[in-house]
Parts: sequence; C-alpha cells; structure tokens
Amino acid sequence: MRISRRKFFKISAVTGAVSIIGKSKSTSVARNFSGRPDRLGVLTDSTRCVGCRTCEAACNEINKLPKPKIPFEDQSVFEKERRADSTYYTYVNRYPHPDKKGKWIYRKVQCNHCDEPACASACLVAALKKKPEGPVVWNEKICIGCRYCMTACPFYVPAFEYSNPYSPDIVKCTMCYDTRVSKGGIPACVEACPMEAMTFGKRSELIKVARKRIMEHTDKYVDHIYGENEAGGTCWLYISGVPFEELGFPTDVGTKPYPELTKGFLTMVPAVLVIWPALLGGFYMFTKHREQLIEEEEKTPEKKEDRK
Amino acid sequence: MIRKNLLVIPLTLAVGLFIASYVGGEKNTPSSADGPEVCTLGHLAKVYEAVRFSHEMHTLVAENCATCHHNSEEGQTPACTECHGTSSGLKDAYHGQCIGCHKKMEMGPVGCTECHMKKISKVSSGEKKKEKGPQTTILNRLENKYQSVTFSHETHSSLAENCSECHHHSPAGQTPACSECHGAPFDPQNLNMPGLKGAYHLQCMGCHQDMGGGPTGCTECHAKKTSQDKQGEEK
Repeated sequence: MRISRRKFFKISAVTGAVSIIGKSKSTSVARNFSGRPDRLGVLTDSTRCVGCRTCEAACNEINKLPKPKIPFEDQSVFEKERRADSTYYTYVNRYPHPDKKGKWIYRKVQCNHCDEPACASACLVAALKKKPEGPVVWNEKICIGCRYCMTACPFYVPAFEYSNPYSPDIVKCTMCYDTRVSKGGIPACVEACPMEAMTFGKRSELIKVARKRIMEHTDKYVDHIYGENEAGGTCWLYISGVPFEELGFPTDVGTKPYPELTKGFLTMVPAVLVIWPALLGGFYMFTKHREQLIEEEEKTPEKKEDRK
Repeated sequence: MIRKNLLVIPLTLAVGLFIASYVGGEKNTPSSADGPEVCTLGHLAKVYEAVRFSHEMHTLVAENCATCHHNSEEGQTPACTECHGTSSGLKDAYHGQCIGCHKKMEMGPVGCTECHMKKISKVSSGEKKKEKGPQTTILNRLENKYQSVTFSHETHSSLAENCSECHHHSPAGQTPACSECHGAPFDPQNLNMPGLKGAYHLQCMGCHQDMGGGPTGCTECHAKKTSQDKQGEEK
C-alpha cells in the first residue's frame, strides 16, 4: 500500500478530528442532578397509608376521569394487584406485611416525575416535558400514541388507551400541574389524604424531612429514600417501614439517569451525518479527480512530450 | 481500487474510537455499612432520656469512617470514649462533633431537647384528674358532608397515662388544643409538622392501631350525612 505523505496526514487529521468531536460532546450527566434546585416534589410515607383510596377519588374528580367500576369505598379492589390503566392516573395496591401476620401494607403508584425522565427522552414528538417546577407533563394534542415512553419508563407508568381505536394516547399523573401546581397549589391527592401520608414541598426540603423521620424513628423505617437516586433521582419520594420489594417497588432500576444511556450517541448523529459525508465525499472526489488526471496522462503521453 | 480501500482503515478506526468513548465504567461508591446500627448514649440517664444515635444512618451520610472517627489510625474506628474520657471532655467532643457537623450540613438536630428528651416523671406532671379538661369534644369542621365527630375526652384521659401522651410536644403540664399548633399543612418552613387533619388522624388512628382498640375506619368516626339530615338542618 502506497500513500503519499500529504494523503496520510489528511486521513489521520480527519480521523483524529472526528474522534475528538465525539469525545468532547459526550458530557456525562452529573449523578446529583443540580439543575432547578427549587423543583417541587412529594414525599410519600408508606407507614401512614391505610388504603382508604381518598387520593384516587380526588385524582378522579380533579382530572374528570370516568367513574370506576368498583367504587372507591370498596376494598375488594385490593384483591388484585393493579397495573397502570388509562382510566386512572394513580392507584393503590395492597400487600401483606412481611413480618406482622394479618396486617396489610399499601403502596400508592403514580408517575414518579423523574429528574431526567426516560419518557421525555424517548418521546418522538416531545409530547412529554419536564417542567421547571418539577412535574413531568404530557400534551395529549401532540401525542401520537407510539408507546415509546411505555418502553422507556423503568416504573411502568404511562398507560395506553387500548380501548380507543382512532386516536389513542398515553395518560399518566401530571402532579396536577395544569390545575393546581402551576398556580401555586398542591396536588389533589396530597391534599385529600386524611393521614397526610404525602407531603408536598421542595424536593431538597423533602429529602431533609425524610432523613429526619428515618433518623428519629430508626426502628420504624427502612433506611432508604426511594427516589433519591433511583433512575437519577425522582421528584416523588418514598419512605417505608418494610423493604421496598415487599411493596412491589421495582428495585433494579439503578441510579443512572436513563437519558444518559442514549444522549451522547444521539446528539452526535446530526453532526456525523453532516460532517462525514462532506469530508469523505470530498476525499472521494479528490482521489477520483487525481485518478482521472493520471489516466489522461497515461493515455496521451505524446502530447506531453510535445509540450516540452 | 487500492485508494478506495485505504479509506476503510481510518473509517473503522474512527467508528471504533467513537464507540469506545461512550463505553465507560461506573464509579463504585464505597459502601460503608459497617459498625453498629444504633448507639444509645445513656451517660446522663438520671435526668434525660438516652440519646438515640443512628450509626447506620450516619455511615450512609459520611464519606468514610474517619469523618467521625477522626484522628485515629487508618481503618480504626475507636469509640468516642476511648480518647475523650467519660466526663466534660466527652460532652464537649460529642457536642462539637455532632452539632458542628449538623450546622455545617444544615441538617440534623442542633437544639438541646432535639436530642435530649427530658424524662417525664409520672408523679410530677399530668396527674390523672378526671375533672380536668372537657368531657366530650365536638369536632365539626366538615359539617357540610359529615356528622360531627364526638370525641370523649373523659374516656381518653382515663385511658392515657398522662396528658402529654396526646398533648405532646408541649411544655410540661400544659394541654394546648390540637389546633393551636397544627394549622394548615405543608408549611414550607416546617414541612414535617402535619396539618390539623393529618394530626388528628395520625394521632388518633395511630394510637388506636397500636393499642388494638378504637375506631380506625373512616365512617366509624365520620358518619355520613344523609339527605334527611341536611334537610333537617336547613329547617
């Protein structure tokens, strides 16, 4: 293989430039999310929840959802472990207490409003957005029902309107952003809970409250705030009296924010698609032109000699 | 043909470097879950309740053992008393280390009674007096939807060992009404303080659950108002 020195330098310069561009743009996301320090959140104390479902009723009312088949006062709904459904944004599941026989423990499930939401990152049309106040909201007018967010969400939150054949959308908890939080109010479920199992405030303050509660009652709580670091941190935090697996929490979520898995590569795609064709196309044209010239020279050597 | 093949090598190199720049290992945060779970510091057991110190929680908060077990050989975690003695030197060491860090981190107790709860002797405070306090209290804040809650203060004062079991977190001998301290919930300055509704339910239902008696369901205290009741009221 023979290449000229000039050619060699050009190729290595291009290779080096492309690889450097790749590295400089792969800024790793900070583990402790530092943006929007005043973002709001909710702390759920699972030891206080008694499974009264007042939160579900309040959510149903404020979001004008259809009335459920099993009324809110009926406890028979707990016999089955529910999953996300398009007719409700939040639901409470009941589990047996691992140590105390006959005692039940409850878990309220809804969107965890991640600091770096996988759903917003995956959404093709940017229908899901993380608001500066904290909640992750969705716009039903933009949603195309592709369900990429359902695949992306590590907590299995977005619910799809399977029953809607023409324009199905996904639905999920919005932390009452449009109706209350954006106007300075508190989410309906938080306000409705009679046991004040949920506390609403700044996420940074809630972490302190949670740590304080755990520290003051070490025998009552498990020493872990679920949501502090899970999936890079969520705005909906949980403390519990039993290990979180017993309450059905997904505990294999990890602490890396999900968008980090694809952000670096995806941001490079437009740059690569522009630079590589331009550079490599330029190379090709350059070498082709040279080949043509060489061919022409070989074909007509007599003319060259005449010129001399 | 040779010239075209030449481009394959730098292309492969570039792609390989590209991919390699994103394959990174995660930093392993050191886990420091060694040591005891809870330390009960009962040096002043005569006057104050023992201070409950969650060693487990602090190992998760501290960067490494030496943050607290300072000025000792690497890897060693001596108890505080081993170097600081058992009298005033120990007290200053505890307060300096604990309160100092809590002030620096802006989290954790810094006030005296936040750690040292005063021992309530059952003789001096809250003697059972059946005449003291109301007999029954009517709680009717939700009167448009529910019947008022009838709370028998007399029953509870005979059941409780002393007044502060319910009238908690107040100076000895005083029995403030619940609403005097518990108002609107989610006060940003005092997030851990429940609002009045939460306080009622947590205190009442909490005790009923622990004692295994007393109403714990919703309608056991809040009887729903039927339309007949509402009509009766309008008249």
